[in-house]
Amino acid sequence: MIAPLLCCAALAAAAGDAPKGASESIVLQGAEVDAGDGNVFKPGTVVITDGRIAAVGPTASAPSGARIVDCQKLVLTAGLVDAASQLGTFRFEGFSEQASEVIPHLDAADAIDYFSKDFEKLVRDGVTTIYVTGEAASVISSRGAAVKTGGPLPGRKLAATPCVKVTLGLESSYRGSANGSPFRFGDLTFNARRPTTRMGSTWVFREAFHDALLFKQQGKTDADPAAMKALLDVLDGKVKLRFQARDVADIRSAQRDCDEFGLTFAVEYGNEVGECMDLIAAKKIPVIFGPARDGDGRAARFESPLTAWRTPKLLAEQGATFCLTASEGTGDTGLARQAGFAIKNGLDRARALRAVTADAAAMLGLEKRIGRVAEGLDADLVLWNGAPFDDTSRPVLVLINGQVVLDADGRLRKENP
Amino acid sequence: MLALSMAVALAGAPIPAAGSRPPAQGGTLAIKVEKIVLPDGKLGDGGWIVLKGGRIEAVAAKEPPANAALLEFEHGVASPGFVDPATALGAAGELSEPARAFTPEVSAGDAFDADHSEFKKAAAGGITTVGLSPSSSNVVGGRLAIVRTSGEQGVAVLSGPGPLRFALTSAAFDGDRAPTSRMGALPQLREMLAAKKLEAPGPCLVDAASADEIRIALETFESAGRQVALLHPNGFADADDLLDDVLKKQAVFAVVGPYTLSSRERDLALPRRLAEKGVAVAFTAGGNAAKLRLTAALAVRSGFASDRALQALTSVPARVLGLDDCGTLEPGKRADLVVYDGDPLDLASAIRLVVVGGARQERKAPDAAAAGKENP
Repeated sequence: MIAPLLCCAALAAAAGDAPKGASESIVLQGAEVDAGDGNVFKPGTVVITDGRIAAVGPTASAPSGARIVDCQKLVLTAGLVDAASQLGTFRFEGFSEQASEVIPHLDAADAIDYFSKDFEKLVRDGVTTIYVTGEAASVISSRGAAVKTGGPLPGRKLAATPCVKVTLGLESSYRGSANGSPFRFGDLTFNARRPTTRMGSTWVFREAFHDALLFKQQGKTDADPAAMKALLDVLDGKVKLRFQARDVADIRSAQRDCDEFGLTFAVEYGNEVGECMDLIAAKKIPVIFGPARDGDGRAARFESPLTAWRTPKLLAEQGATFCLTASEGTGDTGLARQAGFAIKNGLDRARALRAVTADAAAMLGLEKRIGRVAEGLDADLVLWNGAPFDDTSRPVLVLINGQVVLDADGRLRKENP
Repeated sequence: MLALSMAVALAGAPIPAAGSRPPAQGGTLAIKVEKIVLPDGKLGDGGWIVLKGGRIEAVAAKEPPANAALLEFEHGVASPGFVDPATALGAAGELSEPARAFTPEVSAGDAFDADHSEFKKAAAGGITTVGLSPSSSNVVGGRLAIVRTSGEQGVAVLSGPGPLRFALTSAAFDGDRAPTSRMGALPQLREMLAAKKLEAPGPCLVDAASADEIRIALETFESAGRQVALLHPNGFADADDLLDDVLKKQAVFAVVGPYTLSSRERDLALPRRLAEKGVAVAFTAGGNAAKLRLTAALAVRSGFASDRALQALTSVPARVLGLDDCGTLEPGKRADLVVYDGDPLDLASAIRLVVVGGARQERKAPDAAAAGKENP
């Protein structure tokens, strides 16, 4: 075990010393390569040039002058991708925009804190890209934003398919009552307009889309025109929609709401999708499932909807489009652990890897950039010291755009090389 | 717009003098010192500094002009008058307008009280110009007023609009006021910048504390073609080298302070760190002259170069305020200067003379012999 780790340390030093923009190639040799697209090379070779994967296979020819790194006894996968993260932002005062329940014109990219300590935790978990999803405080929330978890700032942001988040259930309506009843204490603020019930949340959604259609017909609106334009983009299919819907009742509500306006949607979190698999299968609803937690078998949310550990297995059997998310979890509840839970409860290992890499990337429309170990994709790679997602394994080297962000000594590298 | 036009009208008319004194001598004043703080912040050889009509006529002259009133300071060191770019002098508590988050129309000059004793104290301590700034409670807080702490006309607001104050810190967001978040505020801010609704002289003064607030401030204003003066960028060190690319694109100012003996080493090292990255540093101490000098001295103790420290008290804050007529001792500049009996950064040095806009400030010398020989 010692020899390959030392090699990785050498790589870390090599990558760190390389002048910026150098087109020097790095060859990772000898690791078991699980490409995430069905290809497994034991051992395999990965060639990295200019931050991208130049070649992958059982034997790839090393360009002249390339640094060759021995990675024997390690397992190499693509960096993990979380398609519904709540990390990496200014939380509290920074992220949730409370001034309106309908903010599809806002962009979570403006709420990202690139220097958040969250990114360090994510890198240690082997997560190299997160999609920061809209905040649940608004019924129709903002667009999300995909960012890499490390490396120089210019390469951090990714152009994911634009997608607006809608929140049904207690997380949008609960905030209304949590904000107090302003009429008792003084003037009404915009907090008083919040829905405080499930019925109210659905009403906000339907009213907003009706307003958008009226805006299209009449060219004017009493609502925020920027928000209405953004909703018309959703109706035109230019912007996708996802619903945070944990309970069966909310998932069924989401379907009714979308049917009314001819919309399609993905389910985010969807703790109880296992209870309405018929609907998921019939409507081919993509699911971003999770997070599951150790010990309870259900999420400790307001209503504790049932998070059945076997749901990923059921989704796979149904042929559903799905990926896994850790939401705000890291470490013990992080994304690697989510894949581990799914494997323990019957999901095939290869599918579990895809559910936190390639399938998550595809959910974001980023399958041509990230999520697999394949030629032309970004060199976002994780080297594990054992079978990925086993409790006895951890990432020992993480690369983003071909640069070491977590080295073999467990040190994070943030600075520009 | 009403508020703004009123401010301009107010600023245009000379404000009645408060606590002003006529210059000790009319006409030309020549001051002899041993050393002079040069525009590059270094201490150069002294000579006669000649002041006339509220302006500097000559610096380090060998001989004083005939008929000039003469003042000689045997061990004197002449420095440009200090400039504190972000204060609430004479208007504390009146510079936060929480009604809306975007208030580019309001002007700190409207909260200005010329009779406030704080101006007199500032002038006596060697601060000759201050920026009177709206607080950090709004995303766009309003316009700064540039105040001369004394002069022939007394305390006065410089005519014309001042720079704009912005904030991207949590202080600018309030749960009861739209927008409540940075995500909600930025599109509106970008739109106003693009529509040229936020034009102002000098750089945009932006409160940005954390590394990411600094990043977003630099990116937002740079993409609108505007210069930035970061106010209290205390999280700058957390950015490591990640902001290098953004910093290369533009000349950036930072306003830091005040520092005290109980400030954290991390904060005290900030001026040095900023200077290493090419950021021009200015000090602020809320218009308190003693704290301003202490701030500079402590920064030097933590590795900030002393020439930079002197510039951070004079020429850099002048540029932060968009002023090109003060902050250095050069012919043609305003006659704002202070004579110390030693290095201004040495806290043991005492002030011997303050001249604001050519007008001498009364100074009670602890020891008449040390106060300079005055030629009748």
